[in-house]
Amino acid sequence: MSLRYQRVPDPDRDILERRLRLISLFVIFVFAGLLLKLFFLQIIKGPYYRELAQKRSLRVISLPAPRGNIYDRRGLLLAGNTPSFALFLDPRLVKGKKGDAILQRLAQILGEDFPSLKQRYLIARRKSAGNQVLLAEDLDRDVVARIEARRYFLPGVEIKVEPRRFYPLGEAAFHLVGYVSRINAKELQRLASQGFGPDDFLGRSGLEAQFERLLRGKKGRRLVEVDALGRIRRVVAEEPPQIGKSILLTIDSIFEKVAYNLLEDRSGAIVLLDPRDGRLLALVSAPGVDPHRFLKGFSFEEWKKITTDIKHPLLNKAILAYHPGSTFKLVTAMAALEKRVISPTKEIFCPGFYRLGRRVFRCWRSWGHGKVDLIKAIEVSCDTYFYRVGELVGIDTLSQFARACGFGRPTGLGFPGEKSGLVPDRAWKLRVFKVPWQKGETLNVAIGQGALMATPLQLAKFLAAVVNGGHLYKPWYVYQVFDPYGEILEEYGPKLEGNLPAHPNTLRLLKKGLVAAVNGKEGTGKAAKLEKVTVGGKTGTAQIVGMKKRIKSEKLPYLKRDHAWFIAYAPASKPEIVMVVFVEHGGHGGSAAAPLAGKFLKMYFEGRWSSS
Amino acid sequence: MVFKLKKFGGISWSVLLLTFFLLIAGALNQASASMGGILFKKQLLWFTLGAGLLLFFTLMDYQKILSPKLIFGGYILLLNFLLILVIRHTRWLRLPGLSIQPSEFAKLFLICLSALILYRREGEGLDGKTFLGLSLLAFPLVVLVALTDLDQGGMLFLIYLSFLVVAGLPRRWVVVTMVSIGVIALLMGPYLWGLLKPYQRARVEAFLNPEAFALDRGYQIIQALIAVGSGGLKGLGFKEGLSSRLNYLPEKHTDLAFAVWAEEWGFIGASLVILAYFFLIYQILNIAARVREPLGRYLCYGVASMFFWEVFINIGGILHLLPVASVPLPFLSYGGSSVLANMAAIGLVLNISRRRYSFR
Repeated sequence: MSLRYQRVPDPDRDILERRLRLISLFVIFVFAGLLLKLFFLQIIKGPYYRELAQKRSLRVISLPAPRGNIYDRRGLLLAGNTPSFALFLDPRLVKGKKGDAILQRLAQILGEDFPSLKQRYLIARRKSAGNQVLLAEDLDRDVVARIEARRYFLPGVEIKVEPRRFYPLGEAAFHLVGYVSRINAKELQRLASQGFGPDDFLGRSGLEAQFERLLRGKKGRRLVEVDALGRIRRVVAEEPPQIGKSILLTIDSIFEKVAYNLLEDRSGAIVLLDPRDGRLLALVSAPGVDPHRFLKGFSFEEWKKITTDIKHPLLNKAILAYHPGSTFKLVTAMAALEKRVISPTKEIFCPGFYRLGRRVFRCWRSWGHGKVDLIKAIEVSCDTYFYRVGELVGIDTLSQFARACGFGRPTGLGFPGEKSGLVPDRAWKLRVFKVPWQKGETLNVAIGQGALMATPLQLAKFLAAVVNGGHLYKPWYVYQVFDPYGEILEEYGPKLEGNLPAHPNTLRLLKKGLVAAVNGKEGTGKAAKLEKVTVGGKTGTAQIVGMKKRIKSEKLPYLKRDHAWFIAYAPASKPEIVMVVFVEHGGHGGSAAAPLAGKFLKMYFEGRWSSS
Repeated sequence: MVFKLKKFGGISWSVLLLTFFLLIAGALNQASASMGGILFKKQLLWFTLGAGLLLFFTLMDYQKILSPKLIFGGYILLLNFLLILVIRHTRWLRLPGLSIQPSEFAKLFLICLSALILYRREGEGLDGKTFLGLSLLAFPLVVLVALTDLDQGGMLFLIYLSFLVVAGLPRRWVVVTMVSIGVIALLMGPYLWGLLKPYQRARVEAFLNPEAFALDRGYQIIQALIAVGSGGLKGLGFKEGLSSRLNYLPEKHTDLAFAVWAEEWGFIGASLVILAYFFLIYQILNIAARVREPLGRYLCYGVASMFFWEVFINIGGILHLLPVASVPLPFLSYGGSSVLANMAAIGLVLNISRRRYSFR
């Protein structure tokens, strides 16, 4: 059988040709449809699909900006950054059965059991509102290596290197430097428009809070292409982060550390000031909390333990107000001398109490001091003397002098949370209690009790003015602000607030009293005496609870014990350091606070530092 | 002598040029989709082998080679292969070094045999004998292929239907068939729906509402639409397509190759390719209309219908005019069997085109 072409009339020719024409029309119709739909998709809906494509495959990653550093006056780090590895999951890729497989793998690597990991992930995912979910922080390099090695099998899993806050002094500088912690949901709502993300940190207290704007850098952004499995393939554009500005302080981290360790397990505060220009050398409050713990957050139990501690580790006692006790007698003395209500050589007899009308005011020494003049009264801290002087001066003058010495208002340091303290007077009494001032209250104020409240920082500022010739400097601690390249942006110096309303002779007499209190035979602050350097100082013992009879503080329950104060300066001839020691519920100022000052000043002048 | 070198002149240059254009587009597209990988190189190899096959089919004496004995023998052999595939439950005939997809060649055999039957019949119109012949021929192929690859089975069925139309199926039959299919679909719809495999049902559901199944079944449609749409007028540029480069497009080498092309070359490039397919099919139909040799006419018609259905179903699926079906796009999709079968078909058309005006 052969298929040779034969010249026969084609019987199908008509029908085939006719059908072919129809078929061609059908073909044209179909292809016109394809072209039309193509035109619709690419030209009319093109921008829509292009946006979809970009939403799907382009992602903006925010690059964290390292916070600026905080340095002490020696250039030692008080707060810096250290790299840390954090594990993030992309909720768009880690979900369903595939997500479970990924989590299972991760659980194995992290050494955690799968159900708890998954629960943690689900909780974190709800919080992150569609953003990447932070699953673990502070990863070991080991774990990081194991995750990176299995990267292909872990789509949507990302390890980011984040700068992490680092505080070399730890809890010693906790109250001064403060801490940072993650932004919470409410703050995020408020700050989201300023570029904050759910994993950002905010400065919470101390310098970290006060200089948040300076320290915080500007976050960078990186536009990347992400493939169908969530892996970054290419960086399209990048805006590098700007590192925050750094701060150079007048604080000395060795003083800070030593002072903190001196307080040991006591609750209290130490303030160190250079009286020549008011620069702060140390601001310590104890106990502190390790600031690194705030980075991770606390468990409910840990947090409860901190907040219910009777020593209040979260409170910065250097800027809280307490009764200043006998340390305030300097103000009373100053007012008396300036108003000439008493001659410095005039002696007053102390039988151990002072009688005003029908009320009896006790001296701390129940058997009395005998005859005391001004210097002696400061040396032995005779209450009777100052009851008498206070009565002579009157509350109006006394409160006026107290304000002129810087009490009753913030010191001007600018520290967040600083208290004003309280200088009571007639107007205050009437306003708050709606009853007129009682004469007896003046007596209490004269020895630093009653309604009078002052902060350790205020006392330091005041003592500095007394010993530097009457110049009331605002305490300051920021020396320089500079950018990451070392360019100095701002520089600060001493700020004079005013002068004490005191004649140099008055100040000379006060200083004489202060020296006598440490070096005199009966001085209350003998514990701070040094061999080679003359120290001046004044003890204070602030009563918490009014008592008919004196009971030794050690026998009282902790919360009812007296606060111990000691304010000191040295060397007496040419003062270069002012120190305020406050021990909360520490007992007597002479035995609880003065020895700490003595120890510190000994190290200071001998230049031999040991932190124990 | 089988080859008639003397008669190389007179071929349809437009068909050759259009094929050449589509081959270049296909090579570029594979280069982009595989990022210069192994599939691109293998496709080039298939193109080279295909060119040889094209030359062979252009120059051979098709009336001798395509003898009923030879074709029928090949047909029986093919049926055996398909049977083996059904038993093994695979679409691929795996030989050492390469795997063949016999369903691609089944199309060629169906075309040749149908053309032979129509050529050898007597009289005009669709008589019972011709109808039976065509149906008996197509039925085993359609069923055996459909058992492993429903989409290719559907392609074979469409080619069979196309031959029925050109064989002179009366118009009222067409109407009756369509109406009865509609009635059956209405009455038996739920039952037939239940017979479909889950993935087949999923395809239809996803076609109707891709967003509702965005994560599994609708994913392919959505990604294809995004790829095509984001091409815009000028496209994103060669090897710059976001969807293909970042692996958002599944099956980008095969079923969705056109989406890669449309994304990178935009409306200009994509419409050029569609127009190329159109003119290719139109030219082949033209040859069928003008060649004064019945076997050649039917062969050309069969080849044109094969290309038409492949292009329509593939691109229609990508453009969301039809449910997505896994059918390769001639020359643009990767696949050795598909390339070889299509180039052989083009060779056959070129061969026939030479004899448009040859009378012997």
